[in-house]
Amino acid sequence: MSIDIPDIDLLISRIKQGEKEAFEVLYDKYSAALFGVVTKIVRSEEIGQDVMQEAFVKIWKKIHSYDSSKGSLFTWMLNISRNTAIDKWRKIKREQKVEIQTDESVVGIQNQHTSINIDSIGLKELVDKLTPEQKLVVEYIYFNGYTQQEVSDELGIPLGTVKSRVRKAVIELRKVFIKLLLWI
Amino acid sequence: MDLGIYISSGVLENYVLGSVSDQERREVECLSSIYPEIKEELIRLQQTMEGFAMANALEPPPGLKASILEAIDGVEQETGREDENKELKVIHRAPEATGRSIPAYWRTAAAASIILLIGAIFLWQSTIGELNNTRTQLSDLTNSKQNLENRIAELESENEESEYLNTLLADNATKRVAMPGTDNSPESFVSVFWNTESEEVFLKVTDLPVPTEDKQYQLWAIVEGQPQDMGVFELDLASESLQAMPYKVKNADAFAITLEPKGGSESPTLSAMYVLGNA
Repeated sequence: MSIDIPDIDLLISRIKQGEKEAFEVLYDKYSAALFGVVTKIVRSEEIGQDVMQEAFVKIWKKIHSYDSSKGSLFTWMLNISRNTAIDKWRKIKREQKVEIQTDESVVGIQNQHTSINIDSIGLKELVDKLTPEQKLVVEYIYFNGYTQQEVSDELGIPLGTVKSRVRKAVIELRKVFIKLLLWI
Repeated sequence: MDLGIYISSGVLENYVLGSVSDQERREVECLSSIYPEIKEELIRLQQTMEGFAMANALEPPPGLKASILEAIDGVEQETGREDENKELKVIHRAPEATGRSIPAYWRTAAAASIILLIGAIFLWQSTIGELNNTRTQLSDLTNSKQNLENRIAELESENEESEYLNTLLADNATKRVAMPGTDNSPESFVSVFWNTESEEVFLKVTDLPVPTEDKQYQLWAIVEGQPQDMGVFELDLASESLQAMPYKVKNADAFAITLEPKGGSESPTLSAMYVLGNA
């Protein structure tokens, strides 16, 4: 599988003209990648499907505001999906907090929260180069939508440390995934 | 700007991870559209996260595609024009709400431009000022150099003169004729240096009364009983050097000085003789 679509510009212009068949091509190409990220964020395949639907409707509606000069279509779709998932997850957490705190589901969710990590999705070899600390900041920021300040507050580590860990983590990811892009 | 510092600041990583503020996001988008180096770095980072997402891929249930296609059925796409209107609304609202509608990079750019402009004006003015100072200094230096050169020329000629006088005085042919004051002016005293070979005559006035404006002293040589005009001279008591007289004389028996009308007389006024000395 390759993440590049030949004639992506043509595909985009067809989608802009309302061609559903063209939109299907996008779905076939990217849904698995998006679903993977989304479910990691909302920690549920069921909620993940709702998020996917919401995200793809947004992608369809906003396709005219996609600006290729700011990045690839995939990155744009990834951002929309991720943001939708993070919003959803925050909403779920808020609702759960409103519920009685002694409810075991809160504990359950929190446990689930900490148990989710990159290793669990078969990326062990790929992310082995990241230190546990680097993995943690990537997870908090990328999958939980935390700001760096929030990570700093949550984990009780200085903001500067968070920043340098994020940077080092992305540099490591880059070594791995730029290579990966060459053969997937 | 220093692109290296910006690229290594970590803001691009945060951008691709989605943990930047709106302001930082606009900044990254603006800068990456200006600087190809930033754009390149950003694309690589975006590809990294694309690869990361691909590696995290999870096949969705088969029914999802159909429900999504159903969900978009009849959903109108927001066209560019609507988007523009939307953006315009946002732009209009923003200043009221936050007063920060002008993005940081524009404010920074504007501030930087003003600072640069002020700097340039200041630099220009100080350069002009310095240039003028330099010009003044140069003309001062040129003047003082000219003065020094004039002074040197003066000194050189004085030196030549005094060397000449030294030679002359040391010469055996030079006679010193002492001329004491007459009854008219007993305190007066003048010396004549007369070289009998070159026939040149010099004066050294030790003391003479200061004449009135309309009078001038005149030196006479007495040759074979007859007064011979040696020329008029200005009284300069302050001068240490000898005064050269315009005329030469041979075989003088005596020298005398009389006070004459300005410009001198053809024959001496004997009643106005001040000094007299035999050669």
